[in-house]
Amino acid sequence: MDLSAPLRSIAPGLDSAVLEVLARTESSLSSTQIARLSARGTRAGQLPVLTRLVEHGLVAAERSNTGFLYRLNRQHVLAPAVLAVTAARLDIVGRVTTGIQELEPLPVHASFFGSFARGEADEHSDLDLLLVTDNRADPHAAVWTDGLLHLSDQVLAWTGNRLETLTFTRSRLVELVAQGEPIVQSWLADSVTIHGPTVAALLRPTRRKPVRA
Amino acid sequence: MSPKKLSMRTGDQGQARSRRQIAAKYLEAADLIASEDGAAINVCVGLAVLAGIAAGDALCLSASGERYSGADHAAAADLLRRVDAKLGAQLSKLVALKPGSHYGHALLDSRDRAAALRAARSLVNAATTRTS
Repeated sequence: MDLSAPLRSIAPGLDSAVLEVLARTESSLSSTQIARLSARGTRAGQLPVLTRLVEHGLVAAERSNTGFLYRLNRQHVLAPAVLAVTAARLDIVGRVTTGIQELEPLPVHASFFGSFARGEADEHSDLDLLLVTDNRADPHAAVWTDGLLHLSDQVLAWTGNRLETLTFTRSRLVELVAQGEPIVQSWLADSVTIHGPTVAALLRPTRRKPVRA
Repeated sequence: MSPKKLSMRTGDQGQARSRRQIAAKYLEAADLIASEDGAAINVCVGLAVLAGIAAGDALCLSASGERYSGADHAAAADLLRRVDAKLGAQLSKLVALKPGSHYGHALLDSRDRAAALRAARSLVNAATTRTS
């Protein structure tokens, strides 16, 4: 599925581009504003789409001094479906977060990174997931890899996109930082933490309590 | 398992043997650099993945007369899982090591390499048994 614009997966035309914009706000927008805020199409191309959506009642049009203003008719029987599809990203994050709770051992950290984390992923993108385990965990133990394989299968079934994972123990993560691995900067800059502390917090040196004489 | 349409190519037992021989060569090349560290770990794991993919192709051709023909290695593993769930899972786990070689210079370590070689050897051995 298009992970950044889920509506496009079921309505590939400009309808989804228009509805994505209108679903993000409860206020009314002019066709010029809609065209500027949408990812696809021009005002000229979107106007017939808006007219059609108004005919179907899903979009309400109000006359203003400068032309028509449009808003999603949230009372429409189809509006909850549109809002649910546009919020699919949250559903995916929620499902993966739940799936992580079933991994053995439970990781100390999980975050999305890459295009999905940046909100740029489409139907060709993988979902990149960083997992950090306790130092005692073995990332090659069958119980861990079987769990990841199951989660990957589920993500593929939920979205049609593949889950790609990187697993490191906590001490290995510290080593990667010391080695200056470039990807660490990406994890620090734009990863979306869905379980445990952030990468930055994980890397913060733990303060020891002063020993009293 | 993949809900996507898999692109397939048909083949006979001769082609299955040919893919198995290629798999064995990839594994041989991986073994040659298995004691080197640094960037060689990425190369070794990459070769192990290619060995596993070619072995998977041989197993699929031998069992069903067709193999995956696209560029998505994970999809090739999905197809093998339809033919042999255990070996297919092994290939899926092997292919899952690939992002580690793509995303950095030293994300993979000697334990990843050992796991990759173990999985590739197991797949090549199974392909050898079933295509001989």
